[in-house]
Amino acid sequence: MAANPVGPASPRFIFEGAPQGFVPGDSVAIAILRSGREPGNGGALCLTGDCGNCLGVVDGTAFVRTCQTSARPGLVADRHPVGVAPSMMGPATVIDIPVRRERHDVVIVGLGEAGLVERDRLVAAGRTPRLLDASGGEDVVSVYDDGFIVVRTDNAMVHIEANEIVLATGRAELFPVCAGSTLPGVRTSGAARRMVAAGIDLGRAVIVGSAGAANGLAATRLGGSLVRIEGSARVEAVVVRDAFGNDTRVDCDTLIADLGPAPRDVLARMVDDGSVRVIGPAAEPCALPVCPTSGIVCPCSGTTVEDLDGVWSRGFREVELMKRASLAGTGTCQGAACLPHLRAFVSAKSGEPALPFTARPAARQLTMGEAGAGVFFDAWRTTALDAEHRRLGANMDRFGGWWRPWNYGDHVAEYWAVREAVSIGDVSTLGKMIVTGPDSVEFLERIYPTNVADIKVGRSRYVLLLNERGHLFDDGMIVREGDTRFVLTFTSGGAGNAEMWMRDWAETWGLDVRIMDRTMSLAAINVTGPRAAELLIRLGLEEPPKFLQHRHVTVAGIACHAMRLSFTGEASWELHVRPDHAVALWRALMDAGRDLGIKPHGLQALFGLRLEKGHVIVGMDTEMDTTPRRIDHDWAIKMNKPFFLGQEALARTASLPDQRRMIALTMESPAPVEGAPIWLDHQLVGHVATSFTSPLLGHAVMLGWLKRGWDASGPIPTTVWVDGRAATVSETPFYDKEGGRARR
Amino acid sequence: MLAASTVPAVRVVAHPDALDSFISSMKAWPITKTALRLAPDEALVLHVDTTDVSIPDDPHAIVEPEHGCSLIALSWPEFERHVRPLVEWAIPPDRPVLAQGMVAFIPAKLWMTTGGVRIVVATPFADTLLERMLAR
Repeated sequence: MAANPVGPASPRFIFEGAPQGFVPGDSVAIAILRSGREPGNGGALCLTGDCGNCLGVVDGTAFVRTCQTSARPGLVADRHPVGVAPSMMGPATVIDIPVRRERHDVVIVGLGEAGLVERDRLVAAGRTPRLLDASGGEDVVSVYDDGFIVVRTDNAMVHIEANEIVLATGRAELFPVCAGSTLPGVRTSGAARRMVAAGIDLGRAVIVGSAGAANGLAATRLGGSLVRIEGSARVEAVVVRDAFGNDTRVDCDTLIADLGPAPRDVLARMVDDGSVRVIGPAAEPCALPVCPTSGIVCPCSGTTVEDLDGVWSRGFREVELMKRASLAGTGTCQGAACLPHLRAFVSAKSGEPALPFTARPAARQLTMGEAGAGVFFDAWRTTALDAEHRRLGANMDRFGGWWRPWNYGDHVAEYWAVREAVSIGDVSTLGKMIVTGPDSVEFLERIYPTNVADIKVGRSRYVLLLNERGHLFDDGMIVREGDTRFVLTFTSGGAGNAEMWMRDWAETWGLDVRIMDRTMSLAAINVTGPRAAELLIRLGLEEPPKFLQHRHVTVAGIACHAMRLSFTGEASWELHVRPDHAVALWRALMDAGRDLGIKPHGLQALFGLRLEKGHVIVGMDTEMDTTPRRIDHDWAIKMNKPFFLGQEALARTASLPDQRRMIALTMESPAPVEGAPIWLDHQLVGHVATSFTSPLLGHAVMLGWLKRGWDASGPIPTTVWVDGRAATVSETPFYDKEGGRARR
Repeated sequence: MLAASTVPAVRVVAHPDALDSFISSMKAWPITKTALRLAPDEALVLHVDTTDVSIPDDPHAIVEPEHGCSLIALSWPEFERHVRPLVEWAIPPDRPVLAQGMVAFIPAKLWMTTGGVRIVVATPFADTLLERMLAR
């Protein structure tokens, strides 16, 4: 036996809190095995990265394959805790992983014999393959359809796009499945060879199986089939059964499983398109093992043969379904260890060949930093007033792709400022668009279900936006600036699609129009409340536009496009302004309105204010297939127009029965949560869309949906149940039914 | 230090032929006044105001001052370090050239000349884009 090459002068890393010497070139697993210990918590070791039995915590990162990790001074390794999941909170320093992007004609994964032959063949054909092999520090962790590969290296992730991918990943070995197969001391033939090559004493070693991969190893080969492995803390003996059914028990320290090959096909199982070619042993079929009868089949998920029996008895009869129901194959090795045994189980039970299940990226454990490298969250836009809101102490939140003030600390005070005094709100996020051109009127007549031609210059109109199915997907205003020039507004969330929608239809209809999106080019401030006009007059706007009128004006010396409308139910003017003038205008309004009781308001107050008026928010109150009829907005539809988008669908469905109706509800405070079920006669009939406890009315107001379980041919029920309390079906608006406050 | 600054600009939407004529006329302008052709019918003209821009061939052209754009100027080494790793698409080889696409998942326009790159981005995205670039 070779002398232990590790001595006092050898480099060290820390394992389980104590120094661990190693030989340069050792993997962490080999160094640990040389000390007589195990890198993981048992199970057959392959030392080729196929199984998950050497996983440990390395430098704070869990689920690291120690057999694929080079030992180095300063490294800190620990086994996973037994019986509980290791902490997933790795070191913060690995969050920012750089990504290199490459494009290649052809990529070869795996540089074994088959990969090298393929390389030579491609080079001879005049091609330049990109070569990837884990032993070279480039570990392919994922392959996707359309020729996309993700590679992990020590210091970066590499994202590769290729016209062709050749997988030459070779073969793994079958793992034993029987009672005791998770005891430390079980090795594949390849692992045993690596240990011997590293000078590690296997002790009394026996070989089970006759595949030939263990030939030449100094171990006793046992005939017969493996029945079980015995031992308390590690392998102490194996029991094999001969052809006559006789069992023999043999004492040993190491069991070498020489059970035959299994394709190393995890990457191949991730894709199913023509961009990937599998060659060499990875493409060759391998015989399945005998059907397992006891023990752990999937070491990653701890799935036992008994678990598979239970799943089978519940009617899951295909490999893919067995995987999902038993979790076998869903762990870190994606079936590298268990798939042959699962297939053998299903084949034996069904009498039919069982095909492999698919694999999911990644084939190796990745940190979240590695998985997310090069991927960003959606970027949330900031308005020109963002810093001003934060200076005022606003609680900011994300809505419709923007950071917006939710409140400034007291949404009820903000509410009262709107109802009783004056308030300003940032509505810069609204979609804004200019449309001109000789065909602009005809174009908008086709786009919108309301009349457009009769909107006078200087006036505006509320509009719905319908798709071809007559379903509501946005709303806004048409503001007429000239005979052929219009400003359109959209919801904040709908603005993103508006330009595309308009341009597509202009092209489709061949109409001569010009379309310019101005959403991010202008800021906008809504000045609202019974004293809003007084405030604007103070700042030099002597005659604020009347209801649904608009004008280019100057407020506090700042040029604005002032549009009078109302979402809050009070007199309101939207001031559209250059973004770089928005803060100055905001501050001028706040300063001039101080003695009027001005406060800024956030979305929390705004949502309640508009709900008291019964104004629908598209996307919050509505659903993907909401029609004007379902929300009682037929008044916004002019069916006698020659054409508009969605008209045909609305005409076709007008006479059909429809149980889906938006209803207005009131009930005692507190308001139920949005989404609360609505009940009628102990039947679930719908849900609350939005709700608000009205400070002014002293009770809850809601918009909700009746969807099923009520007789739509009769009247709408007068009372329903929400949260176990009676709610009265009401009419909107809940507040200022005549609408005088918005118009005065 | 990289920074985003607002840039005076004019946005034009006009009939493509009329826009062609206008951009041809710009060839006599100072080189700092650059027209970025965003689409056949749309251009963003940098460092001008609306008095500089007239589209006589299209009475329906929309000519609007653009105050919602920010500009980030980079040398090529800065581009290679801070931007290229965030671009998933092929950078066109021609110079000068306008390329439009996502940079770090944010829509941006890249005006690339032999002297460097100017990134034009909607101001509401500018801070986030810069933050993502400087993380490199």
